[in-house]
Amino acid sequence: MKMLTKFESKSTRAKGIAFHPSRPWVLVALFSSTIQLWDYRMGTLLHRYEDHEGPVRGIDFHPTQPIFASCGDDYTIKVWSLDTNKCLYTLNGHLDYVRTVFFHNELPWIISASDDQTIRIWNWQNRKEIACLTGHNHFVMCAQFHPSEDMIVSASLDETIRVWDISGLRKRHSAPGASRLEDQIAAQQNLLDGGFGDCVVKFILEGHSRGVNWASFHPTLPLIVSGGDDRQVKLWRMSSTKAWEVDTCRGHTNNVDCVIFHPHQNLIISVGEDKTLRIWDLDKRTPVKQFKRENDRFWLIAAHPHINLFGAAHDSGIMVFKMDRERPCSVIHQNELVFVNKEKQVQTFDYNNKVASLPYVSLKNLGQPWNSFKSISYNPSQHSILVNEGNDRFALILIPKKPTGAVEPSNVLEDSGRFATFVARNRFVVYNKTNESLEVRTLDNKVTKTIKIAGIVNDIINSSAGCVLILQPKEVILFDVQQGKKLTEIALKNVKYVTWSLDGQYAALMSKHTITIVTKRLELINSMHETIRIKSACWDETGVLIYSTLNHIRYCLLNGDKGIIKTLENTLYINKVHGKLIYALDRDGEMKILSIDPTEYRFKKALANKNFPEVLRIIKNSNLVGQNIIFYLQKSGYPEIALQFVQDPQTRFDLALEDGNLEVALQEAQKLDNHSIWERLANEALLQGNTSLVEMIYQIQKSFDKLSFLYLITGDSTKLTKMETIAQNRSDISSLISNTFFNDSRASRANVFAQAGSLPLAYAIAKAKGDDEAASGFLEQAGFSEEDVVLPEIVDGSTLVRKPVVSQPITKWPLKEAEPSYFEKAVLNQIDDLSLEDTQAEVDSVKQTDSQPEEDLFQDETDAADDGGAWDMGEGDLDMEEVLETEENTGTQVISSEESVVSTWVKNSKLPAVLVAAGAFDAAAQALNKQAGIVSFEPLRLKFEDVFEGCRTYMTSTPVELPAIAGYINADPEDEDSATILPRTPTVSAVTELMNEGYKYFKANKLEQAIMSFRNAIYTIILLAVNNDEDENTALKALERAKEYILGLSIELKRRSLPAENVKRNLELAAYFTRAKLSPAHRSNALQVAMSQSFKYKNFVLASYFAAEFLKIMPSGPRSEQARKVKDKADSIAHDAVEIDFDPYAEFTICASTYTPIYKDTRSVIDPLTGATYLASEKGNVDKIALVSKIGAPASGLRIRY
Amino acid sequence: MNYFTIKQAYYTGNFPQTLQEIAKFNKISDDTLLFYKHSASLKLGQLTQDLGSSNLDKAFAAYKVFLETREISQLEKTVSIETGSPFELYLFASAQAIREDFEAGLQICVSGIDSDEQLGTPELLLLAVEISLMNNQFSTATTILENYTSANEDEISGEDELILNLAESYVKFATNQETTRSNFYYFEELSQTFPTWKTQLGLLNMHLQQNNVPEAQSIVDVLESEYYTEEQKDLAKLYRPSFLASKITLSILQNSQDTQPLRSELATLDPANVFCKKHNETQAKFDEVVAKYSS
Repeated sequence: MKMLTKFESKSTRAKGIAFHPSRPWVLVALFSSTIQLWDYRMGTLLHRYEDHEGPVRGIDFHPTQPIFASCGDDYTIKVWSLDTNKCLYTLNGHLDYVRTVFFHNELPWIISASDDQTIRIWNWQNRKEIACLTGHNHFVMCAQFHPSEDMIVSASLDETIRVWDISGLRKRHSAPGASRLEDQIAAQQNLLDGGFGDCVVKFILEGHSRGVNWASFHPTLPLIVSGGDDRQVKLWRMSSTKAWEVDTCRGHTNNVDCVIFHPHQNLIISVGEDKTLRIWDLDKRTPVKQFKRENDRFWLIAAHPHINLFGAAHDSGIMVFKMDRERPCSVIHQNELVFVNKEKQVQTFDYNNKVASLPYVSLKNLGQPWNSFKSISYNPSQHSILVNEGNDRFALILIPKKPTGAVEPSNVLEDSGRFATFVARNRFVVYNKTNESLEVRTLDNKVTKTIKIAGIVNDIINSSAGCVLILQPKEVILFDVQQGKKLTEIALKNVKYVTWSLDGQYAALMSKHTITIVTKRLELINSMHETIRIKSACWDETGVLIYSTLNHIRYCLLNGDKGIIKTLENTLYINKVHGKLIYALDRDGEMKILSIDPTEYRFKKALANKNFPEVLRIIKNSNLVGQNIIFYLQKSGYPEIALQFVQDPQTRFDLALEDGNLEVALQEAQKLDNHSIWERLANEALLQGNTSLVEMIYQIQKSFDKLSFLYLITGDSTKLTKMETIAQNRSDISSLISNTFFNDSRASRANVFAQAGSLPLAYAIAKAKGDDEAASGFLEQAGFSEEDVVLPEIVDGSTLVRKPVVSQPITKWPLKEAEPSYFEKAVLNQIDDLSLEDTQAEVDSVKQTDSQPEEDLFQDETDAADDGGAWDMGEGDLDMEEVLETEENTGTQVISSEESVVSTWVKNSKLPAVLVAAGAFDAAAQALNKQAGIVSFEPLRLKFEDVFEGCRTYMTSTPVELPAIAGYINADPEDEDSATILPRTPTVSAVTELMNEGYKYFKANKLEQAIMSFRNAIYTIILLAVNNDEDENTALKALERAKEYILGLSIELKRRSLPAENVKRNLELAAYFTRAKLSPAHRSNALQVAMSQSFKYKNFVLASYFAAEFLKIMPSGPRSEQARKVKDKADSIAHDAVEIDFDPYAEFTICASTYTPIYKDTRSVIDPLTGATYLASEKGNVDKIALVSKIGAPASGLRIRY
Repeated sequence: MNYFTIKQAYYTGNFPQTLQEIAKFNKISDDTLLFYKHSASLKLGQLTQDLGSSNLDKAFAAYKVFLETREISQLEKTVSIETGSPFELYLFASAQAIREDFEAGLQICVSGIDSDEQLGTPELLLLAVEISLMNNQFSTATTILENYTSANEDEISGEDELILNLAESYVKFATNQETTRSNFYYFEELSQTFPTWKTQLGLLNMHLQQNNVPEAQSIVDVLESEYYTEEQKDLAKLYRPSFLASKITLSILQNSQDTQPLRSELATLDPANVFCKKHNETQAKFDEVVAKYSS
């Protein structure tokens, strides 16, 4: 057997293993006294807990709290904190090795089993032992609580299994006042009595001929499974009064140490010291699969509480594995997905109508039971599929033309071979492992060609016509099957899946953690690594790769940019991406349709392709903000675009500086006004040679020295002189001195030195300048004569200071003006398409006097509408502005002050239908959201399109190659009064038509189509605009009707999809179907179904009731004859074999999501659009009737009347 | 000279007839004849590469290049806005309108109309009106037309009136005036007198605008008859996008299931069509609505 191993750890002998209920963590109890905590998804050791002395044997996570418990050969039980990773406390009491420890599912209890022959129950909150169960007369190897009832099962080397009733213990410990003294004494006494009375042995199961190592309860059925040193696995059944051995599974060749039930499937899993892990069929008790380790004995097996994962502890570590692959096989053909569901039935999913078909065939008998298929391939011309069964065999199955249910396939061709896939209309290829070759076969399985393939082949995937991709461990080969030759190859390790872009130009090659994008000739575009496992991928129509990992949906552009779109709760396998919708199969083989926001990747793609108009459109029309996108733009070298997103002055300043946009930087600097900001701006301005800005900043900052130097370098001598005076006035000596240098005013410098008492310096300056008079003056002051001073031989009076070469000071360094970028132009309205003002000005100049009265008219109209009490007016106005902006930007429809038919419509009505007709989709959506809680708009797409396009018509221009001229269709073509005209929208007759179509399908038993028609009717009503009470009533009644039919039919469809063995649910759903308020003629069908089903499964009382109801509607005719017979027969027996949740006389509605009854006093919520009732827990989900509105959303009620 | 028959054939979309009428003037050659000859040939795909050497010939050659490549530079070089004749400007402005640079197109028309040259001005006027309507400048269109008719009231010949009537009908169509009355009869009369693809499509649009579903359907049936589809293959191909756009509207009015295939056909056949552009714009808007409420 091959298991899908997800993780393996290498260590010393592992004796225990426990899964965390929500995180990807597993605890391992080691014989070496250590406890390990692993992240099995990342494969990292998170922590080691070392406090036990000697081997650790039992381990368990608490189901909800961040704690776990362990036990071992040091006679102790330890409770640990996951927050601090420390031992919180130790429970002492056992007198020998403690073998297992488990938490109770809801009570604060721990159960332990020990070699001291006792089982003890502890309260981990008050850290007290509350019961000690004695009775076994050898080591107790294992003891566990029942998952839902007050029972314990224990296994002992005394060769027995005991089932204990602990309801007394629960009673005692949940009774009020349990802390009274008497109770405490009683509890103490109870302990001494060995819990006698609180915990009583219910059954002793004897049958094993050696010691029993393990016993487990079945999660839902009254079954126990046990394993012992007699190498046997035994199955036991219990009733309320007795328990008996059902059967034995023989096969293990050494001690069986642990055995459990599969949490969901009818399987038993056992491990033993014969180094095998064995899986048994619970119903037949026959071996199903077996896995053997070469050298390691298995000690324990544990199932994950929620996910389909198992863990096994063995001599050299642990392994975490899945029993079988969970990926549903599927293949896309045109607008359909062909897939195999969980029950191995072939179904199709229609992307257009978003419905899955009934099953075409059941492949349950194909391949091995309990083994899912590996892959399928579809041949549209033959309407057949190739199934790779996953066991080196494949089958070619002809599929019936119409889906009629899970029937056996009539034409199956099975043969050995792997990776069978169609390569042409009449050919498929199969890999034959024995002779390591690829065989091309005809549809009747005759080999026409054999091609030798060197090396191991992991899979073969269909590529372009006549070619396949051969996936090998270290490379992917593009192979032309027709020519029988290798076309090209790429070195990539362990590629598992491949997905082709829609245009066939690119392929994404996926391995566990890497996606590599290549061209159709396998040339590398880019490659990226994911730490979380990659599950599936699909290209959208614009060439963006959307892929799913275990917990995310992500995107990747061809340039390697990637990001997260959505977080997933459950793993999904994407099969199609269309616009904003992702279609994915879940592990149950059901199609999920997810709505995503592609703005981010579309934006990045537009940016990467330098499609600036698109970038600008997205900026204007979406809520694309946040640090991430700003950082992205900066990183990509578009600070000027990033500027568009930001309000914060500091960020704007930084971005403007990066973009070199001094103007914006200055505006923001004025707001921020701090030293470092000014300094950075000044530096940038200096770099750009904008000296006047630098000057201004220095002035603001009072940076006198810098200002002086600026004047010096720009040659502004006048201002330099002023600076000298200023320095003098400020008595800033050092500044004054440097100014005298800049100005070359040696006389004043000499004076400064003289005044400051440095007469020798003053003398030297005057002398060097040649001003002997001043020099002698200084000498005199100092009391010296010429003779006292020895001067250097050469005193040069010339100056090194040069006169400025420019006649005028430089205010701006002549740099080439930077061309504003596309975005700056757009923002400044310099782009023709985007300019609002220009067009406006021209129009105005042509119209001149016309425009004024029209504007007034517009105003009056608005007011009038206001007075009329039209709903939602404020919102409407707001939206119109947005619409105007959008439409003007795209240059398609300038409404503005130009009076157009479209703007008049909106003035005359703000009904959603009118807003849609006018193209104000956002406003319409807002209105629908407020009125009817609509949140999922995708299903309304066609209706929006039809309403918008159904009021427009296009006249050929002259010459014909010019764009056509649009004309508008009014509701009343005769009406030319601008105060009353409205767009043509669907009438109530469209609704009636769809309802009739639905009834027709109902009658023809085409239930899916009927549901679609009724939904379509609801969608039409949503965008209806009627002008009289009668039409409004008709529409609202139709809405109510459509709801009831969809509910009833959904229940019936659900019933039909049930597996045959689920009789109870089948009968319940049949009964609920009769509760839908269908027309009597149609309700008779529901009653007939309920009657015959009830009768068939011997629920005679109910069958009689349904027959009576049926006869009320249809008192005569052949069907009533049958009903009468059923009633007579049923009345004579008057017994119900299956108890179902249906009381024909109680008042209840049916939850439209769970299809369960909601009785009068149960909390429920209503859907604002359809009025369907739901259990309160469904609040916030999307309504299951029309699939568009949010259950329980506040709403004012749908308006469809003018 | 009287070019009435030529223009009538041309504006009703009967291009082979146009060429026949022009051929009757076999001894004469002038700009008007050249303009209509080349225009009609162009529609029929018969405009050859080696045109004459006159300015108008060159302009046509450049216009043909533009239609094939959507590259306007050669036309820009060939036609001077200041000195070009109205016919030359007509081609230049048409090209701008095809590029959806309506402002530029209108500007060129206006400068041509304002020039002293009279020949070809009514044609330019029609184009100016159409461009204004394409650009949703409804009052501009009306004003241009009114100004011209009032200024030239006495000088309007029969052949000019033919063009002006067409311009007027376009304005009425776009602004939904006289929909059930004069504008409808205008198209009805045309299509009865000169049943061609163009006139039939005009009438079809008028029926659609009036919500006349059975009548519209009967025109569609006529246009799908052998006479229109087989015997006028070239024209059927030329008008196919317009026909499809009308069929889409009709199928919506009929609540038919065929709308989606028609939309796809049009999108494949002529993605640059006004209908497709609007469709794509509204789809984008709708995408935003979906995203807004799903996030």
